[in-house]
Amino acid sequence: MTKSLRKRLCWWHTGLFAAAIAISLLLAWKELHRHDPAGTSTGEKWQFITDTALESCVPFVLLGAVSWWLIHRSLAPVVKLAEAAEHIHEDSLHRRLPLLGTGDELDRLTSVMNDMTGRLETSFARVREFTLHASHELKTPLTILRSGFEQSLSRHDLSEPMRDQIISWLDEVDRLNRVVSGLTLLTQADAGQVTLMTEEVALHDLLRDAASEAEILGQSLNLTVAVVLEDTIALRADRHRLRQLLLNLTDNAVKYNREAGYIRYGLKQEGGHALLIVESGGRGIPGDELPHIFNRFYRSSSSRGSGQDGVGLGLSICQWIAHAHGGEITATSVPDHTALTLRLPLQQTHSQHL
Amino acid sequence: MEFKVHSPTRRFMILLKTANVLSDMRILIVEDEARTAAGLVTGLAAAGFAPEVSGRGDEAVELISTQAYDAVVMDIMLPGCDGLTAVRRLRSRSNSTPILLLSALGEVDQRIEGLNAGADDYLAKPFAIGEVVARLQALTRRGGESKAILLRVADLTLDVPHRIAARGGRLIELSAREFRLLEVLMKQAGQVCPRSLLLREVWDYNFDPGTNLVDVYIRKLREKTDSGASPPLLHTIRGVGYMLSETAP
Repeated sequence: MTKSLRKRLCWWHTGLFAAAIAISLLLAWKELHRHDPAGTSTGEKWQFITDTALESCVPFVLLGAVSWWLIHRSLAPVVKLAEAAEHIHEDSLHRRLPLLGTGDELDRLTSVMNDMTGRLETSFARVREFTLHASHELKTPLTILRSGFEQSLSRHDLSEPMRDQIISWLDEVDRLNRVVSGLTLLTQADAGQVTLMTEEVALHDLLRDAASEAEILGQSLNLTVAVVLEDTIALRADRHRLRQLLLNLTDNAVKYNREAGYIRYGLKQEGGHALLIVESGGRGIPGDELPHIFNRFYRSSSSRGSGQDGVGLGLSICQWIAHAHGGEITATSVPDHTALTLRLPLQQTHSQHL
Repeated sequence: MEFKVHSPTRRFMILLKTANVLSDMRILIVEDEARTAAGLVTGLAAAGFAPEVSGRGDEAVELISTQAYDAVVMDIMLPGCDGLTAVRRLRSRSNSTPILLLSALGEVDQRIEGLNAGADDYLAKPFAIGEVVARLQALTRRGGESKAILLRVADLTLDVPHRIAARGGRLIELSAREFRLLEVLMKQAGQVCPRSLLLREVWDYNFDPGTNLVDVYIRKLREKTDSGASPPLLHTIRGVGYMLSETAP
């Protein structure tokens, strides 16, 4: 705590006491002068004043201690309030701060803060509900569009250019569907409506699977794929979600790689965490874009112009999967070496609902 | 053959009359959204099923309890009573008609809820018609999947238990993934396998990963099965999926 209200109040009080004592000493000095202008020597007067100053140290220290204790006591509820408020996040807006029941200003502050959290909770819930409804409403027309296009494709009198057109529309429908599905998943995750299905998962097997898929996907670019297992690690996790995450990282690693580039998968244990690392070659991610790549709908400059048809939700979903497991994904990048590291705690302490 | 439409609309009737039925496999489609239902009716009729439509959950429960359907395609959001409740009611009456649930909320939780309620399968919207057809075929296949030990399409054979693939007597070396892909395609021989079906059956991905994984694997598999042999067996049905068949589509 660099700036503490408690410390500041204590210093003010101490300053006030010191000033009071100084003033009394000054008055005493004057009084001595008035009563006995020439009698006692200046040395004796000094002696008297310093004695008085030393004696007043005792009440000074005592008053300081009492004031410190009083301030501490009266501010304790504020500290508690701050601590309780610190635990309220976007996903725990249902929490309320405990009222002390004293009916004083602090209680009023608490109830005002609770009202504010309540209003925030309502508007957050409204946004989520809106997104869920929107994605639900989008699925029905998408279903109709899809089956309509499919039926048109099965017609035999269709001209080739028309067929190409319909196929490209079908691709767009699929793309839109990926956006809607991704949004639905993230919104449900935000609202705590997605449950992880945990089981014992061997991370080294997942990495080997991902590597074999990278080999196939990267064939046209002549990529070299390697797996470096420093440890074999099994932990409780949601296998499907982790596979989804790895496939996404793999897909990116292939898409943004260079001709005859490389992808390296690594697994190691480090201080109570499992580290899954996907390193790849290629142009890399500019430093100013790195902090944003996990943001929803963020498209980096390299992905925008490259004709890649991502939807800008893949890495957000990856990051959510990592968070849901109590872990995190971080990214570093220099030209020809981009590394995405998934850090998962070996002891899963997260709750099932996230 | 005369179609039955329970909760009819004019548009349905027109569509139903144009549909052509080849089999007597009766499927009840329970869907209140007219255009989705119409799409399903046309798609299923084209695949040789005899589809009927109901637009209400409670009505569907009565229909399924009193008539013999081979399978049911049921939306979750329905007027009357929702799809999950309908499935529970049917199962509590010991009705075991196979049910494929459809839902716009295609998440794992819903899937599990649906299967727990007693549904046999679950499909997220928007679906490829080919997916619905493939799943209905799986559901209506009496006595479960045919335990074919040797799959054969033209001169391509697949010995599933011994994991041996051969074309015209020439052995084909396949990775585990390629073998599974070929197995799925051969079991569905003559029918289009949508990408989503292959992703689920071969890779166990219940989502669209947005990669060209399937296409790349198919290309590799085609090199192995069709190179230096004729006729080509592995066909691309553009925009829809892939099909293994002796005759070109």
